[in-house]
Amino acid sequence: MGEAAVVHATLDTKLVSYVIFVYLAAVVFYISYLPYRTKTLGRIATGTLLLGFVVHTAAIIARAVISYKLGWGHAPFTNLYESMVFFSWSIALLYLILEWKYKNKVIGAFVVPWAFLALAYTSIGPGIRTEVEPLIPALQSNWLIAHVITCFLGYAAFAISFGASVMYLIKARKGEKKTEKGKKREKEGFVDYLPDLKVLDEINYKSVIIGFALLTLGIITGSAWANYAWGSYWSWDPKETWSLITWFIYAAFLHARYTRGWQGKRTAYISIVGFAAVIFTYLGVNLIISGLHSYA
Amino acid sequence: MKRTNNGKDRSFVGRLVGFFSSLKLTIFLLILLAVTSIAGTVIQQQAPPQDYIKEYGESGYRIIKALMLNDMYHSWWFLALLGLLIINIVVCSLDKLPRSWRFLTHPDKWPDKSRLNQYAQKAKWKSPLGVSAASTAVKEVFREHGISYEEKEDGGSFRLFAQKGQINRIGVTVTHLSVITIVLGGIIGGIWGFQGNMTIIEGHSSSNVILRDMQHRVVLPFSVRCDSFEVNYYPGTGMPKEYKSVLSIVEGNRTVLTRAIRVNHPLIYKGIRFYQASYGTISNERGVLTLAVTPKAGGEPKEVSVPVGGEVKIDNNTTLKLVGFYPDLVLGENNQPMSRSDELRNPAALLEIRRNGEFLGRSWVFAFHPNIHSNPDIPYSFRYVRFKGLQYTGLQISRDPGVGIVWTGCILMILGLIITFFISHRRWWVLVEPLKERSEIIVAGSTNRNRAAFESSFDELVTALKERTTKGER
Repeated sequence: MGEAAVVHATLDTKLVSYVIFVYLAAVVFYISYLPYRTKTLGRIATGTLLLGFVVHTAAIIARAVISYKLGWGHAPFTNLYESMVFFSWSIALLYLILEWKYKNKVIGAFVVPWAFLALAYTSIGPGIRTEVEPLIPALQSNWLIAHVITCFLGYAAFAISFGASVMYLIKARKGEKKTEKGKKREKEGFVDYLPDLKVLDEINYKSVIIGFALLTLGIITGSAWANYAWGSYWSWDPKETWSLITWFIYAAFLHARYTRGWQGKRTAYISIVGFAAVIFTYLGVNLIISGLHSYA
Repeated sequence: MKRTNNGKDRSFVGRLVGFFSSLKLTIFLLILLAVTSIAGTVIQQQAPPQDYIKEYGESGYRIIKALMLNDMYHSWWFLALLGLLIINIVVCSLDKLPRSWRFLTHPDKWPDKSRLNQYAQKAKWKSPLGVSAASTAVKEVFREHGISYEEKEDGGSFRLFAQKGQINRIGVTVTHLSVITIVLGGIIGGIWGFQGNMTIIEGHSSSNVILRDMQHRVVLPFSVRCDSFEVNYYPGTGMPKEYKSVLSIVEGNRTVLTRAIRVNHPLIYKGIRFYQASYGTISNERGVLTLAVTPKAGGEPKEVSVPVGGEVKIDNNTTLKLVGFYPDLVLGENNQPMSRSDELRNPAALLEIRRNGEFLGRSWVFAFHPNIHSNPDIPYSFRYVRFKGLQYTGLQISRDPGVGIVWTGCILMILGLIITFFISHRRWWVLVEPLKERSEIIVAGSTNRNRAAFESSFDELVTALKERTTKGER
């Protein structure tokens, strides 16, 4: 009837569209930091990301406020657009913590692009509705908030482990070639600027631990919610099953890591496969398979 | 249980235990479960045979049926894989637990000097202080670092032992136990629980639950009456805000409980849960329309209700007949009015007005377009107020005696993961031995996780210890 009171182009979506460009700039700075490694460039990269993150946070808060003002009052985690915005925010947050803890800005070149891509997808992805909408009855649950926060922080941790694993494999491969050639060339390019294999392996392991704990919480809160909304904590819905597949893969990672010898390259490969499963759980299931979990 | 590491126990049982306690089996099973689970997300589960035949053809269906891919998560082979994983977990836990348990019950408090030297973290220095003064300084430093310790005199030398996070040693066992608990809860729910549906027409009651397989049913020991069902919409939008059924539990002839249920807010009665799942309109033909009728000559509007097809008097000699009602009006072929659905998306009513039996005219009333039509022959104007068709509510009904066990398992799992991954078992040993009038100090440290962080905190502790025990020198 054309009477739907959805609100177009709200303040938060405008802010998000600025953040996309700020993150793009941060990506450029982090990548150019790789070869040059000047302190100034590093500071600019971190500063840009931090600026984007602050505006990003403001956008999420603004969206919640808009929803409350419209009388719908819900946390901004209820559709694909909002989840993407939150996913990107989680990556930026975890990366900033990681950079602060490890005092290493090189990792940014492999992690910050994910925050940018997730956010950019909200404006180019097909059929993504950015309007603030009221909640359908099934989504009116506090479990939803716990579920979304834990899942996406977990996904962000896996994104970081993925970035670390890719770096690990690049560095390990170049390292092998180098030894074959017998250290002919002094400078191998940016590979030399990557963090130590040991550090990368540890980042991979630690982010998988955090991601696994959060994914477990995400699955549990999701089950609790399903139990309240549909009367069954587990119904082998494709989304549920794929989250379990992801859980199995990272469980295999942790058990493999526990035995000696399964470090470095092999766990890096499992990490990459695991992240592919994460992405499929998040997006693939909705794009290809339909099920209960049809909102995001 | 005999230790079976390195496969050295060559007996049959030993080899069996070795096989089932191997981590390779764990990893293999986890990956196999992950890969096979994909099939069930691609192939529709528990659909009727014709759906599979339509999608995959006769022979495709035969393959699916043979591999039980139409209900794979309940197939014997998938359950067998899960069963193997459980056996693997149980055997592993039993195999590893005694060793972990020893860390709690028999901590290695006073290792001899040679073993002390084997720890990765260690430091050794000479102090100008005597044993008693040096040991007092050592204890002080430990206290300042918030590490509680045990001490021992040992033939003129002093020993100290401290540990933190020893609970980490049973973290893996707790986590594994949680998986077993969850699976156990699932099995209990699967055997003694049920899930089904019930549809009740407003004003009616039922005690029959149609189970998920659509073939069996459960008769409840009481009946459920649906007093009313309604959908509330967000103002100004067609979006549903709330589905609400008012249900009454009737035991014998007595109504024992009346409660409104909504999505996410089920009713629990005697262990059986009632969830708002669906709804529908049984018939709009039997619905009742309420209109506000206002005389064009002036006067107060008056609400009148009229059933579809029925008549009502709006004044002493004028009757209103509800000729037709269209909950979701669209214009069909030849501009015939028709309803696209049973939902009140664009309600419209066709009225016929007679005075003393004489036809005056017909008038349309539209819910969303109140001013669109007014027949000049009719001395009244009409406004749509509401329409109430006869509706039914669809309830999802479940009983799951295992659900409490599942939640217990979930809480155990969270605790298990926290103590496994975020707590590390750290140990410190100090030996202060007399060296003539002075003393020699050996400090050793060990952690089973997070080595890097421990190393730096150990170094910091050693620096403080050295500073305190050598300050007399200078």
